[in-house]
Amino acid sequence: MRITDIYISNYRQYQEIHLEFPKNKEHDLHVIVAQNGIGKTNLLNAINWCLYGDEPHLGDVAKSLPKFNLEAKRQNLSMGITKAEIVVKIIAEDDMQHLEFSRSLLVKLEDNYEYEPEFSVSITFSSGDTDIYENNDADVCVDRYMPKKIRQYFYFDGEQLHNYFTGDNNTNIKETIHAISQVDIVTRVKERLTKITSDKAKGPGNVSDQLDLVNKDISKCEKRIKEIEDLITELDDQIRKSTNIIKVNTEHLQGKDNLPELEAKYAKLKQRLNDLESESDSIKSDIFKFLKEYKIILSFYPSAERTLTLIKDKESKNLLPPNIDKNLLLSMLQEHRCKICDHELTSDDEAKIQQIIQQIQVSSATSNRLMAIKSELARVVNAAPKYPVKKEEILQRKKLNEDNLAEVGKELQDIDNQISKFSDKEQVKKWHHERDEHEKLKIDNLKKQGQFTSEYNNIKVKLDDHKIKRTSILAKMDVAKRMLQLLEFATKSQEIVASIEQEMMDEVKTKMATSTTEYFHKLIWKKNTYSCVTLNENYELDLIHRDDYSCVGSCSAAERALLALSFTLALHKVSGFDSLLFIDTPVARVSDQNRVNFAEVLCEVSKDKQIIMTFTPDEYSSEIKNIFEPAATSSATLNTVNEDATIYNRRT
Amino acid sequence: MVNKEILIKLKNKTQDDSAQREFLTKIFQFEDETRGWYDKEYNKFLEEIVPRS
Repeated sequence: MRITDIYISNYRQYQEIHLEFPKNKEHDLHVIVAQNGIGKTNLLNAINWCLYGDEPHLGDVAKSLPKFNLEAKRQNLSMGITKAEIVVKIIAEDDMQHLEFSRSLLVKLEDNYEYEPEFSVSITFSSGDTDIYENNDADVCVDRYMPKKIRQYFYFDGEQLHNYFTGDNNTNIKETIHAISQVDIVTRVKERLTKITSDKAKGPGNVSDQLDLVNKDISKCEKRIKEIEDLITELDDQIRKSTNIIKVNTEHLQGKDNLPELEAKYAKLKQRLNDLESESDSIKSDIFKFLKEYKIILSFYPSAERTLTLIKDKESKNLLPPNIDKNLLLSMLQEHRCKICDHELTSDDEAKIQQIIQQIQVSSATSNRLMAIKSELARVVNAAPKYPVKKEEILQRKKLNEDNLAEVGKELQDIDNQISKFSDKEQVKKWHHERDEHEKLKIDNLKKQGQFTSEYNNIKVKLDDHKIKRTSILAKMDVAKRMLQLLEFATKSQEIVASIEQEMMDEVKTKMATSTTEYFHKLIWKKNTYSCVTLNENYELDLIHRDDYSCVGSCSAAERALLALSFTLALHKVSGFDSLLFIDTPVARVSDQNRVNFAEVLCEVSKDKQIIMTFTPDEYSSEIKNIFEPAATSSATLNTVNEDATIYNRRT
Repeated sequence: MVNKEILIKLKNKTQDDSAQREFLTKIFQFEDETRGWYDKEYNKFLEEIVPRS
């Protein structure tokens, strides 16, 4: 692509300017000379602003003058125009296409408020058809001709040429070259496939271990279930066996079922008989005692009654002395002192004692004897009338005992008669015993069976849970198997892409190194000093001396600038973006003979590529002028008007 | 548009594996046309193209 015209309206120093870049048959070289501050660098900014919407060569945006040209602003405001547009339009050609890049920005002049810029690209084909792209689509369109990523290789500052391969530039160069050759897409695919394979390699976890564990649980449950089933079956057999024995023995004992009861009843009656016989002996003993006691009472009764009556009579007549010792009373009278309280007796006391002594007619010994037998006499007298009742009572006891003995004896006889009817008493007992044992056993076994059934049901539930878990794990294993398949496939894809990436990187680097060497050899004035240009993995450029030394560090500024130019031209060629070169102050850092050499190189390059250069008058010295003027297709100067606007004066 | 050189290399390296060629061609087309999240698309292509064994 080459630029044919640049139209600038109201942009910074440029109020209204039209730059033309025609081409003659041999060279496509264009020279613009201007003093510092006239707008050389802003011409570069104007191109960048038009194509990419920014101004990378502006020193300090915040401290810069407004984008709208100040002279134009004054003129517009004086005419009452408050809003006006900044427009930069670049006309270019590429093969048979006519291109127009146009960016406009409406500005409110009073306060320099900028509205949204509008950008459009129009492409007119040789057929006459025109495609128009606007804003974002227009940005994409620009990338087809001069990608923003590598714009520094189309529009650059000559003062920086010799520093092109220092600092972070290498990284930028590598990234840029990879972006242009689409190695970056291959790298991106490789990295994404690596991430995909890494994710798949993590898999759904160690399902194999999980399966082993759940299978162990299942085996454990199944083993226990089998054990319980066997136990339940065994219990079933035992219960069935017991049921049969109970049934058979019950049948055997049909009609003979009461033998144990009879025997128990017999034993009970036997005990009762023994008790009654003991009671009978006791009654006999009691009768003997009774008869013995009442023989005495009854024989003694008449005399006892008389004696008791006599005692009671004496007592009633108070003829029986109190239980007082008459000798003691006499002793007290003799000593005139009370033997009980030891005080001296008064005459009244003695008189009373005399009276008591006179009243005691019966001697105290007799009286005491009578009182001693009185209770015994009373007992005899009281007991005697009870004889008939007592006799009746004991006879009743005797009779009752005899009746009971007779009854028990009869019952025993009856039971004995019944038991004696059993011819196979031992067998019946055995049947009974066996049936009782099995009834107990059956109950125990039914209880055990219930417990085992409960455990069986619980384990069954557990087993079902484990089986569901195993199904889930097996499903996961299927997923894992598929994931492994995809992993293997993606890994192979990643390897293929990595090999493509490596090949492309090697090829691009080799092409770049070869092409840079070719350009360098073609342009360098020292034809026998250097053997080749090399690029390492990081695109660090080196110049190899013919004696095989690395010598980029000892190159002159002009040689380094030439190296940068060679690399730039190689990049244009390898990338396929074979566009113009716009160089601001191309020989600013080059001096003496090298300046001439470098100018001649640029002149030579302009045979194949459009070169637009801006110079200061000092830089555009007579020796440079002598080289460029004959070849230059256009030569112009930029001058200032009132220091606010720059005008373009084309000389050729 | 994907560089022809990439497509030629891809073709050469997947001559014996049509599934790989189809998958990687789709991936490069996707990368050329789309920006943003890729995981879902990559896995979708894998599932579509890699035959279940």
